[in-house]
Amino acid sequence: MNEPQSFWTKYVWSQDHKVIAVQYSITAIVAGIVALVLSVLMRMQLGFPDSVPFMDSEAYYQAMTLHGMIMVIYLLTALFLGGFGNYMIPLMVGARDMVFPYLNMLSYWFYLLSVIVLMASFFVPGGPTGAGWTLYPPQAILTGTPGTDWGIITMLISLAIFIVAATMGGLNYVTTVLQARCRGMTLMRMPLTVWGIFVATIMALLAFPALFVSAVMMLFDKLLGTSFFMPAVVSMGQALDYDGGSPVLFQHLFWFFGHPEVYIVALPAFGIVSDLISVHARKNIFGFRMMVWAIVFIGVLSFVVWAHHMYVSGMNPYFGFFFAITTLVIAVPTAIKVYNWVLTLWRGDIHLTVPMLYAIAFISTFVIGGLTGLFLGNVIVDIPLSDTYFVVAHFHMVMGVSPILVIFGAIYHWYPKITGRMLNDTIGKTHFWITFIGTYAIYFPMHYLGILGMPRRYYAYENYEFIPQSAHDLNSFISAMAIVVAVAQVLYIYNLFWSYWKGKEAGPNPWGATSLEWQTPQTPPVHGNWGEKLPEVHRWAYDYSVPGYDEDFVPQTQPQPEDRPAGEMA
Amino acid sequence: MPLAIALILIVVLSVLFQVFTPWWSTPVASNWGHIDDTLVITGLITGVVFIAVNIFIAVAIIRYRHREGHKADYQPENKKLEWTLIGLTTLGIVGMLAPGLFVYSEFVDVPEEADHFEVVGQQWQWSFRFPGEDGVLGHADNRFITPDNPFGLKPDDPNGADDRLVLSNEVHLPLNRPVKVLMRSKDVLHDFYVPQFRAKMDLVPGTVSYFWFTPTRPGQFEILCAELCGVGHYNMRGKVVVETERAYREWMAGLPTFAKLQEGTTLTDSSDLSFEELVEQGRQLSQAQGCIGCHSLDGSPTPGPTWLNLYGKQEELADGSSVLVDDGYLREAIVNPNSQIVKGFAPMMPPYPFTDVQLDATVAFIKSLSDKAPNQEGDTQ
Amino acid sequence: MSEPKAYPSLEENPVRDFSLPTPTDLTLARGGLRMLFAVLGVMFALFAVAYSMRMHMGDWQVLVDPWQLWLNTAMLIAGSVAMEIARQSWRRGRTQWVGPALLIGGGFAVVFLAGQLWVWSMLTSEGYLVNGNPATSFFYLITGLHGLHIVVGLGFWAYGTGKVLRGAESAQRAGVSIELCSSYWHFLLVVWLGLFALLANT
Repeated sequence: MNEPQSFWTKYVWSQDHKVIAVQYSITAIVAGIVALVLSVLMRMQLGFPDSVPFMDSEAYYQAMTLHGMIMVIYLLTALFLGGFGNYMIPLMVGARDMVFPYLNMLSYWFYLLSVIVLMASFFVPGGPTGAGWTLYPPQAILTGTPGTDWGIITMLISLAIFIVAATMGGLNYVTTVLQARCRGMTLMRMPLTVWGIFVATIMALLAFPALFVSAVMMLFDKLLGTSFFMPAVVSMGQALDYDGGSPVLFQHLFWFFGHPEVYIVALPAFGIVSDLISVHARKNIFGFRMMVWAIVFIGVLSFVVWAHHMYVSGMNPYFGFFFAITTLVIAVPTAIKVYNWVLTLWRGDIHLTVPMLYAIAFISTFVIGGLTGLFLGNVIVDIPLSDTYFVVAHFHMVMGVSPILVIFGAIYHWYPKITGRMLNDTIGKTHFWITFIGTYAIYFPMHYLGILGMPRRYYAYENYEFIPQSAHDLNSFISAMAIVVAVAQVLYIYNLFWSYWKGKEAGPNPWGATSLEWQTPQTPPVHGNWGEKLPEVHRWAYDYSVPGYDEDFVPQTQPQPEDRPAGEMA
Repeated sequence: MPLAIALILIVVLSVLFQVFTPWWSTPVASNWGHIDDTLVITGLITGVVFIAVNIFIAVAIIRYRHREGHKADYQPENKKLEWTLIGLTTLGIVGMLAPGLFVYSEFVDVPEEADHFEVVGQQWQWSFRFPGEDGVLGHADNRFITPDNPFGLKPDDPNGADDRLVLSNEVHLPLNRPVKVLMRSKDVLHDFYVPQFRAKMDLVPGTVSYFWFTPTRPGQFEILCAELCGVGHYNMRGKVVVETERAYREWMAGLPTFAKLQEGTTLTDSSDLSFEELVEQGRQLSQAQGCIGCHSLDGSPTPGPTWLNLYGKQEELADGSSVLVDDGYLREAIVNPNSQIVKGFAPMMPPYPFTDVQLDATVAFIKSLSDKAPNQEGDTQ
Repeated sequence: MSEPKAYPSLEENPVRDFSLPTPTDLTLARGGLRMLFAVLGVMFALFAVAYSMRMHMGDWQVLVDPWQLWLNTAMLIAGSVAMEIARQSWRRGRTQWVGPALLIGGGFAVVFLAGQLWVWSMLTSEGYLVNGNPATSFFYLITGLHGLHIVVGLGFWAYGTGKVLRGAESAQRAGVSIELCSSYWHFLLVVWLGLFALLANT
């Protein structure tokens, strides 16, 4: 490995997976902050109507669309795969780098380009698209929706670029896991973090093409006048030239991507949180093999549940039977994961460190989000609840709050490895409590607004008789909480900066963890990761509190007793 | 430790919230009370799991939190326990799924004797169509839509001639009669949603979607749109009136048939109409064309300027100048809307190539909504 | 809760096989390329699904396929054969064959592209425009995307062929290029045959 020399080759045009991971993460977090600001603007309008002067209904729908799209794609997907995947995979499987470092670098630059194109849509004539993150035609490209001139075009192009970036990254992650593991690192010895990211990456590779296909076909409809998704319509009194296309076809394609996308975000979170719980409870993850199979099973099943997003879409209603069954079946492996997390805590030695707080909070919020998913997956129960605030509360709990709590915990956990310093615990705990309690206060009551029947994606709720004043008051309360939680995120960002210079020195393995990334010769690891010799793995990643050892953890690199020459027994 | 307390508090508060919540389903007004039952079953089963998991974590934290000299157990797997849990979970899933699918099979199975009527959506208003004496709806398609044929009925289809048309946002239904709702859209996706009926379904341009229900409670219920359909989505309102069979028949008798509407709109000259007649023409036209989806009639904020007291007003334009709203301005604003944009509004209105008669009628209607309009009997030219 | 016990599977059967082969550039690149084929395969398959779903929407008119498509298909097959000859010659050390075979393989791909453009211009002149009947729209969309993949392939081909013709300072690097290019040619041929079968019959 040649050490890169100049600042530019080391930090900008870098091919080191760790630098690329940090680039990915910072870009994703910056995009996420934009999405957070947009959500505050929306909540201001909902809780305190007309309090933000420029927030008319067009601006509201634009903010809503961009908030959703950024959170799902440009923040969560990018951060879990491009950020954590990039940093963790080579370190955790004992490789020197990704197998195609140049492609890996390109992946980041394409991702950055997609973010720039996305952000540019704020400045094009007509502003960004306001079609909702699902971009359903016909409204996505017809008058009456904001941003149908340029916004939708920049959105679709940005998505296409993102998909190219994700594919370049994904090919790397999968090939690295399959072909560049160090000696002794069998698939069943990989930590669950790698398993989660690995399966999620395969899903991303197979699911993103569906989004690509629908984006390209919609671009054709918009720019070339084809009628793939566009039926004969009379828009604002004008008969258009479209004829015969099927809006429901778009929805099938979109959700064939969209549902796996949920698990593309969830599986890495599942994997990471398993490791956090195991390390900080000083106990092996309970039922490791079942955990791996659950990840794989969820990954496969998630490709045959997509139409549960379309129960009221006007598709053939008999599809509902099939998709309700597949959807509820997926609850079984998901429940197994929850049981195994809580059983890992049982008879553990629970260190309530800050990452552990986030991890346990994740279990609690994920349980709510998962259980409310059973309402929405069961077709008949979904019918009154679909397109209400119940759905909003559900998916924010399950794929907003929960994975983001994992991200907070994960950054907290690995920050010492990445920078060599610990994050500040006081700030960390303050941030944790505000975020955890705050998000509960936001989303728990929001379910009830949905049961009441309040539809989502409404700019205002004036003069609806079935909505009592108390529901408006609850909305104001939710908005107030949302603003508190949003502002509290400054603490975390501040902590990242402050600790980078002022944090306590961490040492190589502050948490006493077994997996390979904590066994690097240097902290932070240098380019090439392992110095002269690649590590050799002799055990799984969960040897915590093994009877007969003094320490309560045994690194993966430590040979089994019978592997060692006599006289070296611990 | 605070975390354990927090989790226990969350459970206690959640249960209290559930018991005392003032926010719950609206009283059901259709036969789909069973849907509420499935929701309650799901709520009970998931509620038990929610409480169990959180309490389990809290107890684990209390009992096994780190203390000096304490060491965790080494316990990789427990096949029996894992399979027991899988079995219990499966049981719970079946407990939710089975009744759900049972009710759903009723939902997709439209009774033979059900009446049917049609809901037509457009940005951002509803209209409705009932089959006439023949009990059959005429064939309709967006390709047939013209200013004179807002529903897009096939002109030469004999089944369509007696179809009763509702050009306003209000529809009436008879009590206790199962009804199949057929749904079409002229432009984008919409969703016909009445919270009290529980059922809802998207309107998809190019196809006809459906669902059925039986109204079981007389009264007035709000129709909402539940599928994002553009900037006016939140304001796409309508009203269902559920009433006795007799009242419903009376209401129905007052609706124009398609054939009648065709006769009434073949005007080519407005000079022989009174101002009132012209206003009525304008009212129908602005409903049919969707004008009132963006221009409210009561001053409430909408994507376009309200028509209430618009005529005769000094309107401030986006470029800073101002203009008096008169006949000439209004006619220009309909035919060529983006030449002068009113301050605070987006240039999003498409041009409407109205005939002179249609322009006269629309302007007369706008005039009738303004108390600043000059002598209304006057210049309608 | 049962009593703690030693972990059965991993500790009783620790995988002693420390012989994960040190991957070569070729095995890595081939692994990556196979994943790419899976991704592109899913993409083209989804276009085919969209095509067959759109077909049933009522306004579909069967596109009468130009006979030139058969000719173009033959070009693509010939290109694939030439690339395979290049690969086999390289593997067997008959290096004098490699350069010409590569050039012929790429040349056929260029001819294929020209042929596709010919079909496009012919369809356009006959009034089959991209915004016409959906069968025509799909034809332009799918052949266009397939062609785009060939163009990208030609980029890599030019890079690899250049190395071979310059006498390849690193024999191994050139070998990787030859192997990957010929696999890619075969893949795009298979995709084309599938698409052609779909487009030609409906």
